[in-house]
Amino acid sequence: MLFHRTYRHRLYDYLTGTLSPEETQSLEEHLRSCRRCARELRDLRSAVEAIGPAGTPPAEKLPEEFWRELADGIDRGIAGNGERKSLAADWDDLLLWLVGRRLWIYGGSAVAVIALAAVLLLKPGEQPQTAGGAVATVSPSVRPADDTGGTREVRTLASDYFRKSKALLVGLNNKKIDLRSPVDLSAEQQLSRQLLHDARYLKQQPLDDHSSRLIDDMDRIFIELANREGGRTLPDIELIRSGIRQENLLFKIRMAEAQFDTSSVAAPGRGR
Amino acid sequence: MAAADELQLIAEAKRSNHAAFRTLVERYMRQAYNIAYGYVNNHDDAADIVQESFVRVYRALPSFRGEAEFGTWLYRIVTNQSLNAVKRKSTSARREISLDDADRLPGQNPDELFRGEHREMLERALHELPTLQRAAVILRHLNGLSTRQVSGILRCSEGTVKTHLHRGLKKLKNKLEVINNS
Repeated sequence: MLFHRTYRHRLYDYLTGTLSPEETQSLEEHLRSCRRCARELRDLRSAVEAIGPAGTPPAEKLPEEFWRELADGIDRGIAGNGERKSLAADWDDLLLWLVGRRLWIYGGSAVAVIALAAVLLLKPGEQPQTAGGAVATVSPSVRPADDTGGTREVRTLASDYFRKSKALLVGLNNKKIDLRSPVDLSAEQQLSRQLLHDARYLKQQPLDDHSSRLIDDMDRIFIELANREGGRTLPDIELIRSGIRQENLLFKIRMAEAQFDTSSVAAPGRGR
Repeated sequence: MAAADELQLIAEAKRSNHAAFRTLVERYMRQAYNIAYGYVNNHDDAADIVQESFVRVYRALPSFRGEAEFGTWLYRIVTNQSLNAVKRKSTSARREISLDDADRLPGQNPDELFRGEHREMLERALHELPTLQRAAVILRHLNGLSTRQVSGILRCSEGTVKTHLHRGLKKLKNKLEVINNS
């Protein structure tokens, strides 16, 4: 003999014919003696019947043309907002994809090659402020190191660079996206340009291989961000986010930050 | 539909094969529309929800590991989108557009009018149900999904779904009576 509550819980299954024969027989016996459960079953049945006649799915009322247009609209939505064509590709493929589609990347690359050539023309150990034409490649936001405090200065600048880069990438990663409106990334673009300038100076300094590679990786993201066309939405941001994840950049930046931690040797007057 | 066929389509879509994703869209968009419509009572909103849901699904496809069925995963997204849309919409706006929808039906005869009225009553009653009860009733009874599928979409046990259904249907019956008598 089951509890009344157990029978009540089985009413819905009974109504939809999903009880076993034994459970059905047991419930039917209970229904013969329990008016409350019998009434409850009638209520449930009438509710299901009320849904039934009106239950013609709304989709069936719509013409095939509508479904074709809806599927086309989804295609357009993916192409315009949700394209992740290269998200699964590795980072190099991602860049190739970008290069293949945006002529301005070639322009940016040409500028980078010229800047690199200018850097290579400098004699080893020569300081930028004495390098004539190379001064143009040095960020106005970073002060060149002097002979006596160069190492500490570079550490401070590197630490500052990585700290700002982390803030930018985290902000970008967490930015809320509205599918229907363009995303304002002007502040991020401005900071990217500043960081690209800072990176040019840092790359002239004797950094370890890991840090140099990390700066190169971040340059790619900052170039993409700095040159991003206004009004574009998800594809750009998703590609950048994908790059951040695939390269595990935030982790690497945290490691670099620890390496360049200048809290104990920071130059006076330069906050972290 | 063969499960293997669907897994193949999903794998292709993950590799950015648009034709494969389009096949999935065509396969599921009607049911997705029915679910969305069950919540928003509005053709345009339902179409928007379906479109946005598929775009989200496409973007999230690389993270889909097949732990749930593709349909269950999609309908969960549609349900969430629909609930968000319902929150944004006022009841009066829903009713206004429901009337517009009724106007779309060509050559209404008395039977069709009766069904339209009945449908409108049912929609009103459904929208007065608590969220989870409404979701369970819409998914199970308007869209014909199994309680297992509904439990996957609502992320609760089948027993909980049945409880929502039981309570929801009881309330629905009472609300229909009140609307009928008013």
